[in-house]
Amino acid sequence: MSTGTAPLVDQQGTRHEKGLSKGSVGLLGSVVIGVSTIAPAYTLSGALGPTAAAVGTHLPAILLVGFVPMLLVAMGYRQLNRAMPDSGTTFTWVSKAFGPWIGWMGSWGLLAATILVLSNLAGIAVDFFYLALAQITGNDAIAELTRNVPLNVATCLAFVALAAWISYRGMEATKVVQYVLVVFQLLVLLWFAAAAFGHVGGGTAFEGLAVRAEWFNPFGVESFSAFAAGVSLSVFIYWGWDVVLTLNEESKDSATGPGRSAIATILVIVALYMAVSLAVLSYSGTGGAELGLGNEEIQENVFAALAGPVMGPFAILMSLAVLSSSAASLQSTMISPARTMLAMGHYGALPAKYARITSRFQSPGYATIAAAVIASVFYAVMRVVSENVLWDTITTLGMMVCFYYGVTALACVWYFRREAFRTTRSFLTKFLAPLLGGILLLVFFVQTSYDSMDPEYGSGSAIGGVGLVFVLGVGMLLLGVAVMLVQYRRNPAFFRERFETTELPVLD
Amino acid sequence: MNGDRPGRYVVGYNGDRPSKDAVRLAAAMARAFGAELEIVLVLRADSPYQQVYPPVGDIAPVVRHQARTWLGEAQQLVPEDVVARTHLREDGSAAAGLARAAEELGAQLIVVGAGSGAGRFSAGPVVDALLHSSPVPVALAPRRYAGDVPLTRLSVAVGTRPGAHQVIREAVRAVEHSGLELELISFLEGEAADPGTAEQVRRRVEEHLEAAADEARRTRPVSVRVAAGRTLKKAAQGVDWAPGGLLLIGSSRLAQGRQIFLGSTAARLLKHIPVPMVVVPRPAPDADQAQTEKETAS
Repeated sequence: MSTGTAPLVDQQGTRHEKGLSKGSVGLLGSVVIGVSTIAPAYTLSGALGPTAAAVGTHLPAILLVGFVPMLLVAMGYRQLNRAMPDSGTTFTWVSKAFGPWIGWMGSWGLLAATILVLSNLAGIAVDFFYLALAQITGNDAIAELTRNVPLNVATCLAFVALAAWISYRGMEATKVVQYVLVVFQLLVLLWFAAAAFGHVGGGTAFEGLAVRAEWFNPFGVESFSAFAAGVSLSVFIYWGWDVVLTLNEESKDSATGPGRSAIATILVIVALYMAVSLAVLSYSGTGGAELGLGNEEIQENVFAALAGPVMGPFAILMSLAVLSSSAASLQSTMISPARTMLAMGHYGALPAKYARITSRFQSPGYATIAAAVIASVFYAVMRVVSENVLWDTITTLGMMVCFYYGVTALACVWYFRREAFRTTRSFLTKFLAPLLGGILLLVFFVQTSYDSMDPEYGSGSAIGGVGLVFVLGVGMLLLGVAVMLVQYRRNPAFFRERFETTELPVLD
Repeated sequence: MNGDRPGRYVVGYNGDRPSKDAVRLAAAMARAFGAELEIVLVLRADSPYQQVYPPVGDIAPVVRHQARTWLGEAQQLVPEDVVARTHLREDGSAAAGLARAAEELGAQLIVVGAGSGAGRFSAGPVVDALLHSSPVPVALAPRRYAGDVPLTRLSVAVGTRPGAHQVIREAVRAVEHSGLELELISFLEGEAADPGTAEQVRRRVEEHLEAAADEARRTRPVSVRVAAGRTLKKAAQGVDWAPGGLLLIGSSRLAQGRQIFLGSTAARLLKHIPVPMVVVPRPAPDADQAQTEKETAS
């Protein structure tokens, strides 16, 4: 993408002008974008329970430690984004570094993760939709409707269809909407944390634990398996904040901006996560009874269970915060798999119809509908098969993110292998950081995959005596291999491309 | 619409059927009035505030590639004797991008397809926005406009209230170097109590038209026509529109400065007219006033 204002004329004689400059985001704007991208109200509600189930009271420690591989990988991402700004996808980066086969699989991992998060997000939204209705009408029976499987699936499909329609038409949330959503989420989450500590102080908390230094000790986690499970979940929790790094390239004052807004975003996110996780832990403890974080009934959606007891009549605010954050995210989440499929279709890694762009809305039309259909079918099947669908998808999601982030980080190391040793700075950012981050994430991926074979893993759902999470995670990757082979038979051109030595096929 | 150097028309194109109609109309007008085409495809610039979750990278290059393919197709639609250039732009909205392109390229006209809605001229959101904001006249190609008949007649819609001079002047200037015949037309809707009154009203409108035509007749022959009907639809349908017809219509008195603001009559006319239509913005207030004063003086 050219940043100059001078018009460019390409081979076909088309002049290319940019009428609007993209770079109009200041420090505050970057933080807002960063926070909105990780959708804290949604991720915390979905992932705090499963993470606490894995690591117990060491939840804060894992949230701090889990950030490290993410940060290391993000440093590599930023370098790749600078080197190949117009092809900033896992797919093209990995293809260029390791060739088309691994590039294809890395992209499949990303695609699977985006489909998983789409269906999980929609599922969370359904829970809160009925909860909010119950709180508004004062009729608790309505909140229970979400446990009615056919109704739950139907509502979820309606949400996904709505999100698909919005992204098909290319509608966008405006700056004001994002500011309002982010500020509202932050206020409600902080209110929740303060109220929980209030209950702890006043002796009215469910468990009422005092915060202890041991909670911050990552080495206190009982086993490496638990540690790996915790970290891959926290990777999911932080997933998305790295847009701030690439955003900075276009920021208003790029001389001072880049580092500062990334650091500000990180501080806001980590502080928020610490406050909420400590509050939840102190209030609930990790016991298996009623409101304890060890209670499987509440783990897959903790705020749905805790907001009422903690915030009292104001619990409706929490429902609205999660509902609005998942509604906003649902639409932006819809775009991710569609864009991934579009890129894959464009380069011949998927059939060409996935690359179709609607002329009226300039959106990936076919890919958007395909993503909606796949996510809907996936959710419907999982809702029937799994005892605890949200929990199992979140856990699988953590694995998938570890997989494709890990592969992409190693792609960064390989891509920059010749220039990485020129300066200390490039050694750190192009070699050491992504190498460490990538290896860590892949180790967590392998460990979690191995552990998830146990039928008791995660929510305890199993198929044929093998844990559902394993079946989902590894099954999805194997399905990817199968689809890749089919695509190879149909269109081998992509797989014969020498991306390592040539320029990418079509870019400007 | 054209001066001494060849005029320039911006054509809004996005690859769909209405925008193909627009190219065909623009080519026909370019031939009739001696202009060159600037075919513009506006890509919507992504707002940084709409990040996708999770981040998957930028697909803008793929979209741009597709856009260039579309522009290539547009170029193919233009006959060889018409000069056409293609432009790819990014802007917040298609309408804003076209208006900006017209300003930057010094274009005298924006040509767009009338949309894909129900009526022949159901204006889509882009057309609607343009009609409310364009600094230059906007030509609307009706659905499935074939463009295979050369333009032969320019009809100018003249209201019964004062203020038509501007549009007529514009029309006279436009046909000056072309072979088009000029016609002034008024639409009369409603039912009179008895045939006598109806005839009276009709006569009065005709006189008004004749008076307006006289000024234009100094340079060329001008015919007048009153299209009457119980409804506007009936009135419009009663006219035998020439296959090479083109209707010029002024914008509402509510329009600000040199911007088009489609009046309610014009907006309804859009739906019932089978020929292409050009909506002319009102002149800037001070220029308008200066003109009026001059007219009063002479």
